Amino acid sequence: MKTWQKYAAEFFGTLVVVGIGTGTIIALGMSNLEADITTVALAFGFAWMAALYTFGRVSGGHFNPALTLAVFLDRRISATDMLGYWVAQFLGALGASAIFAWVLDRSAVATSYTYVAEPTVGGFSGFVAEAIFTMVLGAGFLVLSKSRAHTKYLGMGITLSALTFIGLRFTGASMNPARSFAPSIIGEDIPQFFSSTNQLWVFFVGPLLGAILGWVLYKFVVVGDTDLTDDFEEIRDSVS
Amino acid sequence: MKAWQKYAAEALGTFMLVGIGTGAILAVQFADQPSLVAVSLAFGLALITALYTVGRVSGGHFNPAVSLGAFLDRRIGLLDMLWYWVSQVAGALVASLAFLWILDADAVASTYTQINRAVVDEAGGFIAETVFTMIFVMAILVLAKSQAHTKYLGMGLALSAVHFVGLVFTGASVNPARSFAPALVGNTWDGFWLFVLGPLAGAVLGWVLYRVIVLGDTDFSDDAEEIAGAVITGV
Repeated sequence: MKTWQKYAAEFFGTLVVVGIGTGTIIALGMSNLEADITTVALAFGFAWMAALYTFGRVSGGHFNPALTLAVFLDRRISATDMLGYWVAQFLGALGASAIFAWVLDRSAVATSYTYVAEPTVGGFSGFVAEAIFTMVLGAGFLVLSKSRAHTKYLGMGITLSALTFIGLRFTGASMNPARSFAPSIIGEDIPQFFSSTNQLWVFFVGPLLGAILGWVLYKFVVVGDTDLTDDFEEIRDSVS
Repeated sequence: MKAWQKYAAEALGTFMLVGIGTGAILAVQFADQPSLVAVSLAFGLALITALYTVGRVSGGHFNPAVSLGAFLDRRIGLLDMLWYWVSQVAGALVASLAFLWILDADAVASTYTQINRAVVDEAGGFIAETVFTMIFVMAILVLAKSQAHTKYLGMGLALSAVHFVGLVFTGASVNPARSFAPALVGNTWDGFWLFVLGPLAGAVLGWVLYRVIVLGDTDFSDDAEEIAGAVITGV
């Protein structure tokens, strides 16, 4: 597999997941239907499955900077590839939001942002929630992506749906910095990292911390490796 | 597999897909429970059912756009594609005629893919149908090559996925036969062109992206020659 193919796969895969997932939120908002957790949760899960079955063999099918970080920590991809994946993923998510801004308008895109449910959930508890959701997603992804079974992509999509079921009402169930960044910057004029309506930091720091925790959990529980000093050394070497 | 068997399989599969999918639209209307989830799952699960029934016979397209994608990738010949199209339209028509017989023309018309003009214009609807079909056809082209028994699940879930996002905007056709049958039987032709040209354009784009990203093939001159050859000789 050529390198550009992997980046192209991550670009289009992220476009598909963010496009279908956030598009379903926009669609529900524009219909007279009630905002429905089931619809959105299944839309994100099925979209990821579709993108995984299309591009999974090419790039691994992360479509999410946090999952790419987890995969990098497990030394399955290089630091250079991680950066390339990140760029591709952010561009893919921006492409999805840009299509909706083009066909509809920017205010429609803004409705697909991941809003922290103030005051039920504050910024800090939203951050904790996003970290925990992404930890579960990351640990599951690290196990499943090692499988050779054709059904592994179903497992990944179901995991994302399950977490969206619980998370949607509290934090929008992002677990993905690219998924939150794109509607934030395209739906509003300036991304506001710390405002009470658009706490973008939650969706960067939360998922990235969750990815680290998910990898540690995977090493401890699944692999049974409790000594991470050698891993840290290898990660440091691969960065420098 | 005999040729007539394939065409019969395409007709039967399209009948199942369009019958169950558009039937679910009628069902949620009668139940007064409008639901994106019900209709999206109905289309996806109907496709899975049809694929597990006759997928091995014809390849399981049930959609002229998918047959175009398969033809562009030289998995079926030109004549086969044309006969697949005829079979698919016939199967979809039987489904719509069944609802005309049981219910009435207004009911059939309500299962047409109605573009939501409060939200998108025809150009936006065309773009939407093109993009949805591109995503769907790409997934189909990859999955159809798989030997796994679960590949049909992936195809159906991909169809459900594009329905989740597309139903509100354009009715998420991604299938000219699925739109043509209720249009003809229910006599409603609003924006019909975009449900033919959108999916066909999406199939071409989906095939191009499949070649480039999944296969890593950026040289289309040999492909274009083979396709032109198939069109000229008619096979």
